Order: sequence, then structure tokens, then C-alpha cells
Amino acid sequence: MAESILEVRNLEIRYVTDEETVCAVNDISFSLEKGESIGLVGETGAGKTTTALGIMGLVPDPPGEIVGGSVLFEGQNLLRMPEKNLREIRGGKISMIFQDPMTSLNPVMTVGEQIAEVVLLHSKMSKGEARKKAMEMLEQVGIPGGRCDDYPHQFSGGMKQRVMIAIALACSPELLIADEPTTALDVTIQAQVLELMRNLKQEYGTSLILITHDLGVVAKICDKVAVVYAGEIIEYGTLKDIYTDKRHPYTIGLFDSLPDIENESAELKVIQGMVPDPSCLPEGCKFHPRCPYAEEGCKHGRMEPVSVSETHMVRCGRFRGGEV
Amino acid sequence: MNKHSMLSEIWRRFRKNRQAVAGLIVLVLFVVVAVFAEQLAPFGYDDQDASRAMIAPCLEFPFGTDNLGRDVLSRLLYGSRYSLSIGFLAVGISVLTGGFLGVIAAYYPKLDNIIMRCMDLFMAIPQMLLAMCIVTALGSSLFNLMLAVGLSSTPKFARVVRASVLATREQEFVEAARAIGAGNWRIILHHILPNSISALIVQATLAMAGAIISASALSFLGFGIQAPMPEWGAMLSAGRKYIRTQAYLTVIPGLAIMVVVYALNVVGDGLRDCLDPRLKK
Amino acid sequence: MLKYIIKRLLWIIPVLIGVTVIVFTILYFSPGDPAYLALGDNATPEAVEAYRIEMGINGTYWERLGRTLMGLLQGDLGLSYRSRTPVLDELIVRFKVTFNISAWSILLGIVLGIFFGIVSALKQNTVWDSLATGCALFGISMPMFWQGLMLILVFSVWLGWLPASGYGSSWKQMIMPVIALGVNSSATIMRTTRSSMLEVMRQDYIRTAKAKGQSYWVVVLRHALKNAMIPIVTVIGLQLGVLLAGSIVTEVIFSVAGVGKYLVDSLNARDYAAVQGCVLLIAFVSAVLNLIVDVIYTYIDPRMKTMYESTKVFSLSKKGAKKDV
Repeated sequence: MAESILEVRNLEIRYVTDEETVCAVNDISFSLEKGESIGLVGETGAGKTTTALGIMGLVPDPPGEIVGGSVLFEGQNLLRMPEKNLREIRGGKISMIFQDPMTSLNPVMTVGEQIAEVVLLHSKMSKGEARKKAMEMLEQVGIPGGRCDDYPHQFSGGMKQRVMIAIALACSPELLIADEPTTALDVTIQAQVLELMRNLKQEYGTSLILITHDLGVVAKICDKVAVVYAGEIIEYGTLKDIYTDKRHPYTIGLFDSLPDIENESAELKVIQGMVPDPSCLPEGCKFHPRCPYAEEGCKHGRMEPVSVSETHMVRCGRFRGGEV
Repeated sequence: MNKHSMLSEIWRRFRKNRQAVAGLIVLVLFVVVAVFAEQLAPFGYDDQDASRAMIAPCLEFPFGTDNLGRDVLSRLLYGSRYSLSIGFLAVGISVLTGGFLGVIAAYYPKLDNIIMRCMDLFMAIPQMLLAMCIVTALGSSLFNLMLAVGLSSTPKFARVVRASVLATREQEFVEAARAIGAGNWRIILHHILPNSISALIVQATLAMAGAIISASALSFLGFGIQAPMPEWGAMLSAGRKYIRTQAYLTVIPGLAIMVVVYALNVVGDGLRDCLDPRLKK
Repeated sequence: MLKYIIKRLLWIIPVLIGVTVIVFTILYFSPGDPAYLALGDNATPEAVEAYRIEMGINGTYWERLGRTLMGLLQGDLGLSYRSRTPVLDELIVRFKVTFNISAWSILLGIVLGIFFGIVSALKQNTVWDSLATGCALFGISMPMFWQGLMLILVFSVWLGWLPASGYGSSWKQMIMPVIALGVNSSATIMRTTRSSMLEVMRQDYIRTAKAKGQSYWVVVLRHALKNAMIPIVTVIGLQLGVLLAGSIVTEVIFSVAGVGKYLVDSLNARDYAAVQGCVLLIAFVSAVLNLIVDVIYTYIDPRMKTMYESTKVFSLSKKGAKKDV
């Protein structure tokens, strides 16, 4: 087995304001090997983005607060690392593509400057070389290098996302976190961006954390899947485990709610109820109020993860004690 | 949400801002003083008595007496009436005139350009200058001073109201009202104004602070209210001659202006914070 | 860009004509006959008529307005009723003084305002923030004339450090007028800087910059401040106008022979030609300053540049409307 590049253990993050405490991330653990990619899947507000920000050390503080757990990157705990060392990793070894390309680029700097900035920070290049590198990166994501002196407002949404990808990949990171990289884009452009990311991943051997609520996207790119619900990973396994042998009622519901073209008569299945308010999560299994199989035992205590196979884990009371 | 709960929600948010509440209390006190100046003041505002001229602040005259032996405290209390009425009425004038022009400009594109270009012309003259010229033309009196201060900030309000109406106009509920056949003025009065009102209230509160300062500055320069009327700016102007010997004659009226203006600014800021949902934490 | 600047400069002409019409009309209906004021109440009708012709104030409203506007187009602001000298000459001498003081004041205002604004925004909800915002609120609540008098009281009367009035014989005379004018502006600039910085620091692109591994201060100064400058420049532009008006009071208090004091003296003497000249000069200077501010905009915000270069119709008004929304 290859060495693991990232290990997230029992990560817990909260947002504390005067009025309420939002438990955004409650117990997230997963690991990622070199060159591997994992998809974090879940509904909006499940804590996926906060997890990513936690890994990057960018949880806004205040109100955010990392309460517990550890993030081991190449064996070092990022949460305990001094800011100065962390800055060397950010953008260099780990980089992130943000959700909204429209607002994630600085409107008063040219895209060339913005790409060159990260290059200058993490390599010993001169300004001229960094500019050349920026143009190269633009070419690589399919934008003519000559446009590097243009400002973000002169680009379309899809192109801005490509610029974001160019920034993220400029220093050939070992780990790339992509937070809903295609959600804000048109379908045709979505496919292009995904293709681009897959190619780049193969070329550089970059590990990838892909955050999305789109199961189709995950199937195309990822090796592993973690289904996130209310700040917890409720099911975790290889792509095959999750797509062919899903166990958790929520995962099953998630897949069932995809429209099925082949079976026209089938009604669209919907998971009953609403995503719980993260400022007052239910006790016991966080999914129990919506779960069709919920029993008395699901309503209390802590739901611990259960192994289905060596690669497959599920957090559900029905599989407690090993019987599957 | 109905009107009542909306108001109580605003009040709930406003109450959290301690500074703003303090400001509000100061303003209420100020209104009380202005209304009951006769009952509160130990002397008349023009009770001259050469035998007690220039007495420094003491127990009998907490703020001292001026060169004509008038009690500064009493004059200050009476003077609050000027600041209050100027603040309210001048802003009232600018809200009405500016609001009217702004609504018209926003609603009738044909008039928009003409009105706003005229407003631009007026805005090319600094407000204070414009007010000075208007007062000179009309002659100095309390009413003319209010008119001058009010008219000189008309263009500012026209702009605020126009921008605010233009923003609301595009919203769906206005479209909906139009779809059911409501007339222009009905839409303006029932749908647009209530929705632009919060921006207007905040602006008006802050403008009141500005108006009080402008009016006192005009009086200070001799263009406003004349002796023996106890307007604070005029008192300052009169006291200025004695700054080397009787500094309190300059310090005290200025402090009074500052306290009122500070209170208005704090309340205005507080209102903006609680009326603007974007700033809600 | 050059085309835009030329267009805007040409626009100043109609603005000045409009301002002249407004001021002329207001003053035309003002009480007091300049001829009798200059010659005394017992002047003979012949002498009055001769004076009026000399000063160019004979004839109907329209004749006089026409004459004034023609003069304006030729750069002639008429003769001062008091001194019978060209108003323009009087203004030029005084404008240098006003400009000098205002320039130092706005510089003081910008430096103090932006510095404390940034500090306050970055230390939001701390003692430093409360202190700075509290002081700024005092700054904008203090009437400028009172502030000037208090400076005199403290630094001239009590401490005896600075001269209370005059201009030109020592740099020390500049200090108090500059502070009185500048502190007020700095308070407004500080408040804008603070709210603008707070807004910008929440933006996604700041997070992007941090995610690149950029250090905190570079993020603040390079990424945040440049974006935050857009509203700050607007306010600085508005403050320039406020400053010119504020110089009226300040100059009176510190007996500085600038445009503001000239204006007040002229109004008191009912020297309307001089008043009109002062207002025009101030309007002209404000217009030019606004243009400069707008040009500075395009350097800060590339979006503006595209906008200016593409629009054919533009208003003389500044970004006021945009800001108010």
C-alpha cells in the first residue's frame, strides 16, 4: 500500500456566536493516499466546506473554532503547526479551488498577477519567470497566455474557474482540495472543467479531495467516497463499495433521489424531512428523525462507525455488532 | 411579518446597542428641555443685569454669566429650541423637497435627467456656501435659516431617495402591484416609499446632525440668528471675544452642540445597523 | 482615457454657467443696493448711475446676467464693488493660501483616517476599535468652528505654544488651521475605511489570497486595501468639497486671508461680485478635484476603466448614486 499523504482524525469544528453555537463538523476522519482522490458528498450545510477550510487552516476565527482532532499531512499535524510553516504548505503543497469563481478572484489585480503571486511565494523564481509561468499555467487550463494582463471581470464564469484551477495547480501541489468546482458553471463547461482536473491529476499525480453534492461527478473522478451528514461521515468506502453496496439509509436515499431515466414509471424518491439545524443537532444518530428504519436505540448515545469490509465503513445502528 | 412585530424586532436590535440607546435618551432629554425651557430655566434668556456680568461658573450660575450679566445656563436651555426646530424642520424641508424630486426623477425617466442634472448643479456649490447665499438673499431669521439649511441639502436627499426608489422599483412585489393594475402614485405611496423609508430615516437622522452644525456655523459667522436670541452658535460667536478671559463662554455652547450632534450621530448609526439586514450578524 | 478626461473638462463649462445663473439669481434678489452701499445713502442719482455703469451692474436682470456670463466665458469675474479691482486678481492671491491649508489638511485627514480605519477594522470589537470609532464619532460631531476655538484656547491661550491667528509669517500659524480642518476629514475617512475594510476582509478573494500562503500583512495591504480604497476614494473626493467649505469657518477663526474669509467679508459688505467669484472658484476647484478623483478611480478599479471607456453618455455627477444604494 502506498503511504498516506493526509490523515484527518476526529476533526471537530464549531462556529460560536453570541446567539448560538453551530456544530459544523462533529467527527470527520478519513485518509488519503498519494495520487488517490476522495469525494466528500452531502447536502448543503453538511460541513463539507468547513472540513476543507479546517485542513487548510482557514476556518474564519472568530467565529470558527477547531475544537478537536488532528490533520496529519505527510505525518505532521497541521493544526499544531506555527502559522509561518503552515503558510509554506498552503498554496504550495496543499491548494484549494473555491466554490464560487465569481467572487474568489481579486477584482483589482490581473489574473496573471494572481497566478504569479502564488508562484513567487513558493518558488525562487524572479518576477519575469513567474509571469512566464503564469502564462504557461493559463495555456494549460485552456486560456490564451496573452490574456494574463486582463482583469477577472473580463472573463466568463467558466474561465474564472479555470484561472482558479491555474492558481491552485501553479505550484504542483501534492494535495488539491476542490470545493464544488463545477456547481457555479454551465453543464457544458462543467464537463470541460472536470476533464481538465482529471488530466491534471493524472499528469502530476496529485491527490484530490473533491467536495460536491453531485454523485455523477464523484463517479467520474474519485477512488473513494465519504458521505457526510450533519458534520459526520456516515458512510465511507471505495467508489465500488458506495455505488454497488451502499448500506446507510441516507446514502441509499441520496442515490434514490437521482432521477432514473430507464424506469419512467418510478416516482422520484425523496428523503423525508429536512437537514437538521447544526445549532441544535438531534441526539443519538443524527439521521434518526428522517430515517425509515429508526429504532429506539438510534435515539440515544453516540453512533460509532462499523466496518463492513476492510475498505467500507458505515455509521448506522442497524449494523451494530457486525451482522450485516 | 406584520408591522408590529417588525417594529418590535427593530427595537430589539436597537436596544442591544448601548451607545445608541444612550444617544436616544440624550435626545429625549433634549426635547424635554426644549419644550419646558420656561419652567426649567432659572432666568429669562435676555435678563440683563450689569451688576452680575462675567461671573465664572459657580453654584448660583452653574455655567456662569455673560458680558451682559445673562445666565448662560438659561440661555442654553432656551437655545435648545433653536437647535431642535432647525434640526427637525430643516431636515423636514429637505426630506419633502428632495424626496418629491427623487421620486419623480426615479419614476419618470423623461424628467430624470433634467432633475438630476439640476441637482448636480446645486451640488457643485458646497452646501454651506449655498446656505450662506440663500440666507443673505432672504435676510436672517430663524425661518430663513431653516429654509436655507434645508434647501441646501435638498439635492442630497433627492439622490438618496431616487437611488432607493430605483432599487425597490425593480423588485417583484412592485411588478406584482403593477400587474394588478395599481396606478403610479398608488404604487409609490403604498409600495415603494414604505420600502425605501429605512434608508431615508437613517439619512434624516444623520442629516439632522449636519443641519444643526451648519445652522450653528451660519449663526457663528453672523448669517443666522441674531442677538439677543440665545442660539448656541450665536452665543459662541459672542463669547469668542472673551476667550482669553472667560473661556467658559466659548466652551459651554460648543459642548452643548457637540452633545446633541453626537447623540444624533450615535442614534443614526444605531438605526442604520438595525435597519440594514445585511449588517445583521 | 484622454478622451474621457477632455470630455469631463468640457463638462465643467456648463456646470460653471449653471452655478453662475444660480448664484447670480440668488444674489440679484438679495436686499441692499451696492451703489448706495459704496457711495453712501446721500449719493446723487447721477453718481449712483455712473457707479453702476462702471461696475457693470446697470440694466435689467437679463442684461446683467448676460453680461456676467459673457464675462465668465472670457475669464472675467468682474470688479469687486469694494475695491474696484478685478475679483479674479483678488481671488488668485487668496486661493494660494486656502489651497495650501486645504492640501495639508486633506493629507493629514487621509493619513490619520486610513491608518486608524485599518487598525480599527483589523482589531474589530477590541478596545482599540472602540477607542478609534469613538474618537471618530467625536470628530464628526464637533463643529469645526468650535474645534478651532478650542485649539486656540489650549495651544495659544493656556500653553502659549502657537500663534492664534494670521498666516504666512511662520509655519507655526499653519498648524492649528490644518488640524482643525484635517481632523474632521480624518474622522469621516476613518469611518469609511473601517467599514470598507471590514466588508472587504469578508470577501472570498481574501480567503483565496490566504489560501495561497500569503502573509497576513500582504493580504491586508495588497489585496484588501486596494479593494477597500474604492469607497475611500469616493469619500476623500467628497471631503475635498467639505474641506473647501470648511475653510470658510476656519479662516474666519484663525484670521487667515484666504478665499473663505474673503467670501464672508464680501457677503457682509454685500460685495456680490466678489461673492459670485468665490462661489464660482470653489465650484470650479471642486469640479476639477472630482475629475482627478475619478481618474484615480480608474487606476484603482479596472472595472471603472472599462466602464468609462465604453460609455458614451455619462453624468457629471459622481458615484454618489451608486454609493447610496
